[in-house]
Amino acid sequence: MALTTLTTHKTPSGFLLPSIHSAPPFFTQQPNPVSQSAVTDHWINLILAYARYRRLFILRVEDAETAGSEWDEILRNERIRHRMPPSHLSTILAAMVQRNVAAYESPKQTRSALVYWRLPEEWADVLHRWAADTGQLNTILTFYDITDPPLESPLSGIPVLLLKKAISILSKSGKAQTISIADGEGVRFFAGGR
Amino acid sequence: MGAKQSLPKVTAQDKAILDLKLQRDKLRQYQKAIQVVLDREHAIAKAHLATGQKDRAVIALRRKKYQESLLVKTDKQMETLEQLVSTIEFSLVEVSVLHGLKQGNEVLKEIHKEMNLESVEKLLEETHEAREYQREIGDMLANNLTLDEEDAVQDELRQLEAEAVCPLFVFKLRDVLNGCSLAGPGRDRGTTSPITACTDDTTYARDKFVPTPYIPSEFTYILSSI
Repeated sequence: MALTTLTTHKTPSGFLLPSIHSAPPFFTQQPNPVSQSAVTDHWINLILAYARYRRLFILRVEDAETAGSEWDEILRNERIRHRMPPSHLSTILAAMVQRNVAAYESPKQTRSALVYWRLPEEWADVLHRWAADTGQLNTILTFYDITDPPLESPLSGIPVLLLKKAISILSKSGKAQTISIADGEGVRFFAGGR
Repeated sequence: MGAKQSLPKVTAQDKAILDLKLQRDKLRQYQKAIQVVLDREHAIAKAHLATGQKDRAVIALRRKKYQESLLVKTDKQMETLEQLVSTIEFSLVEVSVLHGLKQGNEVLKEIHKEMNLESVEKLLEETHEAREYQREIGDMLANNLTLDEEDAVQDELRQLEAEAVCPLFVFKLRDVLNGCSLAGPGRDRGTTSPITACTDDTTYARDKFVPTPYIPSEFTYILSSI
């Protein structure tokens, strides 16, 4: 049996993988619940850090099934010829949802989830700050204006589902108002009283 | 709760603006799609050229050209749409500026109502009158004496001073005057004033004075006023 030394590894995208990522047991589901919970903790930290680094929003069980997804760098380790089995990823997704660092994209399935490397409350804050900083308070914005702004913003590429959650949080404190017409939806932000 | 109530109502204007913006988004997405087609046709033309099918490559390039013309057209439409949106938004700003001006004007009017020209004039006039009155009182109190009267006042003052300094002397003088007639050298004799003559040597005046019919000219002045 080859002796593998555990070292950190820098991926092509520049992300620094922790040393545990080169330990084969890390990828397999542990029968012992104590060791499994340790593995889960590590996986959740790794997934959140990587998602934040690459600005990834959605993690699917499918990402573990086929190669070529944007999560390959952490779900696969070719140096030790190991990969994350879909069932294990499914378990970890469930743990993430339970800890409120992820939410299933639609409540009726467990195969894809929004990864909260920022909580919806934090996104609401980012969203309001962006609108204020770019002078777009009191202006009607379409969701497309926010998710695909002409200039790269902290909100570029945010899934509409997450955006809606952030807006509904802002609406509760009177800082946002959604407007819907037959053709679609828009939002208007206000300076808001605290 | 309160925050929710303060949200502005969604007006028909707002909906119209949202509608325009959504149309603009659609154009943007359409442009994205065209760009994808453009790239694809370009790749197809390249692939055909590589396999030597020149006429097919030309067809792909023609399609690409057509898509490009569409892109230019949508660009123009987008410009019009965005101009419209900006114009509407700018007009809304103008409306709110106008509203602000109106309110400012109202306030100014309200203030002016309390401060009309007549009342200001009246107030100024009253102030002027009061000042005038005050000045008159002052004048009356200070300047109502003629020059002659002033002279008399000064004389009285001098006499009082003399009395205060040497009352005994005056008293004796009176005695002297009772016993003899005024006779003496002319008034021009001596240069000292009666007051200084008195103060120079008051002890003499009190204790060593010897009645004599001679009265120095200095005292005649005092005597005359007794």
